[in-house]
Amino acid sequence: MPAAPMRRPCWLDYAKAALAVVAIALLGAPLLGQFDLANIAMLFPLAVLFAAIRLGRGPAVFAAFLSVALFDFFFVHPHFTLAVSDLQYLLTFAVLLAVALTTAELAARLRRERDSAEARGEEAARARLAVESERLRNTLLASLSHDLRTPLTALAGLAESLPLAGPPLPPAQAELAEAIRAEALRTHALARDLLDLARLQSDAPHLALDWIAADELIGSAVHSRTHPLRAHTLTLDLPDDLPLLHADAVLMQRVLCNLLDNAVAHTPAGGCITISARNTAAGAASDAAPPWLEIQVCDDGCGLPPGREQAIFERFVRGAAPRSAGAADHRHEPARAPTTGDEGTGLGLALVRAIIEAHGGSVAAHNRSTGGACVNLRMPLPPQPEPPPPEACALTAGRNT
Amino acid sequence: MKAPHPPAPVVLLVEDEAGIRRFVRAALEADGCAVHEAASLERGRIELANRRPDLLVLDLGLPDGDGLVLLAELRQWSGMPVLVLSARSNEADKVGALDAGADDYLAKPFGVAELLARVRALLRRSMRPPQAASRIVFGEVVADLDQRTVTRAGQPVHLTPIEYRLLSLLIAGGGRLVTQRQLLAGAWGPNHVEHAHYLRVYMTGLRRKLERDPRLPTHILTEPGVGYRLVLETLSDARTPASAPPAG
Repeated sequence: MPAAPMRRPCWLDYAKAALAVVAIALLGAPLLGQFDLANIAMLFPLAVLFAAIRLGRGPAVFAAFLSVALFDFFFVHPHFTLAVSDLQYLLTFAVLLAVALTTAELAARLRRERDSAEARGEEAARARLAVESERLRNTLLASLSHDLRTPLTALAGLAESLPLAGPPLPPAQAELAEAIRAEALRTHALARDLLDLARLQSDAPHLALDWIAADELIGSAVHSRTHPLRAHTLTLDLPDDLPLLHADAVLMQRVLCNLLDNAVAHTPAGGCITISARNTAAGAASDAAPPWLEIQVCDDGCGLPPGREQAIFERFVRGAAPRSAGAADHRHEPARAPTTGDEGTGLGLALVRAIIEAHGGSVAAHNRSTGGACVNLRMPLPPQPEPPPPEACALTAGRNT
Repeated sequence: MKAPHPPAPVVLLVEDEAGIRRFVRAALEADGCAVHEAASLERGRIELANRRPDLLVLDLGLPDGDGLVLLAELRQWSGMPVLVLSARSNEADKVGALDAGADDYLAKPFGVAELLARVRALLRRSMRPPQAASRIVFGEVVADLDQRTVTRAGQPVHLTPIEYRLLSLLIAGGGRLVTQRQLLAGAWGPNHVEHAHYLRVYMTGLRRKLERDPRLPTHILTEPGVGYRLVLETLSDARTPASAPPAG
């Protein structure tokens, strides 16, 4: 019989308990006169036991009192009143009540234990199922990622090596080969971003946490975007004493690269992009609010659609006011770098948010009053690790051993 | 063929995906290499022993086993340069390959230009005798390994012993990626390989002393999640407006 879960007994349970007591009373009625009253009284704990096991503690206690009342009313002289002529029956009542209440308590406790054991079992089964499906999901994502990446690598590489295979291609064909390569890389980037999003949105995304320096992170992101950034002026506003983050270095690099790509895509050539970082606790009292590292990437481009600033972090939403004519020209610029497939899957900023949130941080975007947009990252700052042991003294390299 | 060219470098390509084999082969042959192929770990083992190539290009995910197994075997008897191809997005695998003795890695998808740049760098390094240069120059910095001195724009730079050790490890890497673990073990000892934050502190210091703009380093580069590499010649040092090389 499946146990009723640990619910509060309702009036129906009390009615059932009452019914059980009445049934016992009816059962006992014909015995009146032939059996000793004390023995008839022994029947009532049965009703209480039933109530305790099936209905819970409340109905059982109710049944206990009702038993005493009915026993008194119907069985004890004078009948049909609650008055008692022979005081010895008070002892019977007391014993009956004590037995009934103890029964109720013990049975209810057993019931509670059974219920919680079952709940624990169910919980364990659920947890096992969750672990299993998480594992399955990760395996699936990993193999999907591998199985997509490999043929797309071949496709892009084959298209790129087309001119190597024979005499130089006529320009029209070279352009087609390049288009095939670019599309393969774009497909790859899309698949990668989708899979990464799926991975990050699992219950417990795997983060390779390590101590990373924000300025180093920003430096390497900028370095990897040297080429796309060449037409823009980049300004860094980084204090010297930035604390370390405890984060996944590869994912954080993606965050910054995606933000840079986004800024470049929405800022006409010659525009300015600024990266700044600050420790919210710097200069504040030491016991102020928990410290955050804020990283801001700002541009002076076309800005975000007013009122929908946060929508850019949704999947497949792109900057609504795209680069105008100048940008379109830029696309057809003949000497542009080979596509890396990183520009614009429509998932870049959704990934930024997923990555930052997986680290316990938050992202927001706003328009600047002077034109252009800013994306603001907030990352929690953990207590800093023990610094490296000091060296005896700063030697010149020449005196090293 | 008639000209007395040095013999073409021999490259062994161990990769199970035919499409990738094909374009890597085309690219390497166009660049003057002689290419042999193997589609499995077992075949690769045989070809390695028979061909004695100058360079191994190794895919990690092979149908009959992990490429790392072959790499470990190879390192028992040869220091030949190994370029690992990896479809795994997991940085831990790249670190594992580098720590197991790979010289460099390329993550799929990679382009022909990237591939050739890595292969050329590896071949150049292996052709050159290792102890040839005792003077290393990058940017305004000259490091004299014999004298154990470092100067920047002619002025002596004062490095702490650990800073100097880190710089030496990067120089010994010869442009290769040196993993965090290798740097930590080399500079602080094997008990400190987990103390990544030591590296963050010291690399910042080293960059402040050696880089023109320490926030935008062009020589001491970070590969997030993997390690560091010292790049001697950078695009910004020899920037020619006409021939901007493709971004990696």
